Amino acid sequence: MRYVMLVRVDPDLAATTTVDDVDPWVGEGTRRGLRLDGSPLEDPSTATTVRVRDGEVLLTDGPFAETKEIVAGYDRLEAPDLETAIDYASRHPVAAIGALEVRQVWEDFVAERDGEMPPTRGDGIDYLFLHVPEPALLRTATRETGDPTPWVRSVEEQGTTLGGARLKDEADAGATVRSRKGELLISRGPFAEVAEQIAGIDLIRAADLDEAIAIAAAHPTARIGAIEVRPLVAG
Amino acid sequence: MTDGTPRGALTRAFADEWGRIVASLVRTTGDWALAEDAAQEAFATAATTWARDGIPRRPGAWLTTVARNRALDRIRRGATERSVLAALREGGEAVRELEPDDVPDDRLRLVFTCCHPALPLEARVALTLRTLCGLTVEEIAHAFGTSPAATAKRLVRARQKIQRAGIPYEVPSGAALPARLNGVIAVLYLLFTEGYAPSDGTAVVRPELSGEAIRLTAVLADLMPAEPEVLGLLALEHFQDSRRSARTADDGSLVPLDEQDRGRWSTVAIAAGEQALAAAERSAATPGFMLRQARIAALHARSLGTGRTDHAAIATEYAALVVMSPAPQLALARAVAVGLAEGPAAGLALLDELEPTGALRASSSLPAARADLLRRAARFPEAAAAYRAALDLVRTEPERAFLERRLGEVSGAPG
Repeated sequence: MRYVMLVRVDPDLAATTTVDDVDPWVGEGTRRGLRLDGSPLEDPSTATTVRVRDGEVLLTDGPFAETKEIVAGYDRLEAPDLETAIDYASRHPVAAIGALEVRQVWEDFVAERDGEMPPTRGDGIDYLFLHVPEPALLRTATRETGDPTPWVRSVEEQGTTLGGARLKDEADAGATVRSRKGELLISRGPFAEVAEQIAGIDLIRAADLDEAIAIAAAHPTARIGAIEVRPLVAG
Repeated sequence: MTDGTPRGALTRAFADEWGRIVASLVRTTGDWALAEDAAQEAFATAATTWARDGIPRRPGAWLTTVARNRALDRIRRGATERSVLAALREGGEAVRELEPDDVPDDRLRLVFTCCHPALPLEARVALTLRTLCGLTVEEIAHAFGTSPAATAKRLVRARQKIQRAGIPYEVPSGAALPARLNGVIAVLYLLFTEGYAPSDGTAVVRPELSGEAIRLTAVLADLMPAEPEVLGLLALEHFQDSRRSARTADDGSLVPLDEQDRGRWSTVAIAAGEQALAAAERSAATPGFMLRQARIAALHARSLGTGRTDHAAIATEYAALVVMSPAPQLALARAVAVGLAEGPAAGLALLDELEPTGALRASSSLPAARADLLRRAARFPEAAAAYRAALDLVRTEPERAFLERRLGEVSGAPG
């Protein structure tokens, strides 16, 4: 089964605690076939949050919510079950200075593409989109207005998508993992500090932030919530 | 300014060339901080060299060459790691391309990048002042009552976001342009109003900020001569600026429009406003937001010649503006205009309909407007109560002095 792991860092702890290098953790994931890919993100101060209300694109500087533990990276995992994914996540060095939010991917949320996938763009800036629906607006979305399938098909045609995932939010489909003073702390379900859950991610390759914003603004989540657009650390 | 001294030449060159030099270096190096530092060094060098050796024949070209060489020095020394990386990424082309050229669009791109809506508003304003107007961090901090450290941090974060989040260095095209241009106009107008009517503090006007705003708007109008809203903004700024010295009494208090000494209005600025307004009217298919504001300012200015203000025409323009924007400040201004055109009762009726929401709730402007209309209706005890309510909320000293004077007047009057 597929999982998305959001790497969350507490800047206060990060400033006072030295942690191990992440390379051995990545090596283990590659060796055991647990880790597909992943990347650190640029600082949250480089984030732009995109909303569309009454047809107007509204931008705010910074992340969608101020949380103690900020999203600093992501990994895409493949594991036989949640326990294996949690066990692997718990050895990530950031467990000591933040939290690893492991979320099962809702695999058939958007139907697989019929036929060949158009080529992905060769160059551009890579962005992670964090989809954050507002609970009240989410309830008003119909099957049609909330369906991301047309959007997914269009980013496939453009060659701007590097993949995306709808994340399950049931308590048995995810966990938040921390390690403090050598003790492992696991809470079931999604990250619980704020009411708005991250409901999905997309990886988008765009020419610049303007194009990334335009792509985000076309997604249904922008109308029923917000999309946080975060540049990946280049390289 | 045209006094022929090295200092005069330098002041003039700074006004004319700063934005051009920084814009060209931003394009060729991709490094904002490097571009600003190199421009700063070029002007510092000019200050000593010109005083010693005389003013060069072409000051702009001289400064551009020196700034380019400073930037090259820094890149070669590896003083800024990022710029070296940028130069390498471009396959070394960045270094080769540091020619003293001036692509006309450079400053225009810079305007749109500085005013990009993905940046926080304060950063847009600070970046515009630093990058396009050449104000120092200390000057910007002073103008907005923040610490230099906080201003510097804001600028660093903004430049980082531009580079790392990929905010493009270009003029938006097609469908994106109108909205983005409105964003630029909003930043310039904010800059102007902060200079013309500071939101806090003791001064009625900070002429240096409104002067910068006018200069930058004129540059923008030059670069986009077919945009009626830019011309409208320029006209509005000139008209408001024409009344600058009449807005402050000798004791530092604010003087309302209808009590100003019209002899102190600047006919030069009014003429510049009329010229920009005429150009805006010629190129506007339908009058936009800034054009209508400029018309209102023009109607006030024309009272200089006619001796009377056409309040009915002003009220008509405000009625159109209220339809274009839900800003409560506009609805307030409309009520005041109607009060002057049709009598205080009509204005007060509109004020009663106004919901004090958002910024208006905490502002003295709503009770102050009500007080003024009550005063004009000779309802003095009610006016006094409204002046007291306004004084509770007032944030600038000149306005406080004005409201206190008015309160004294209506308190002494027979009610």
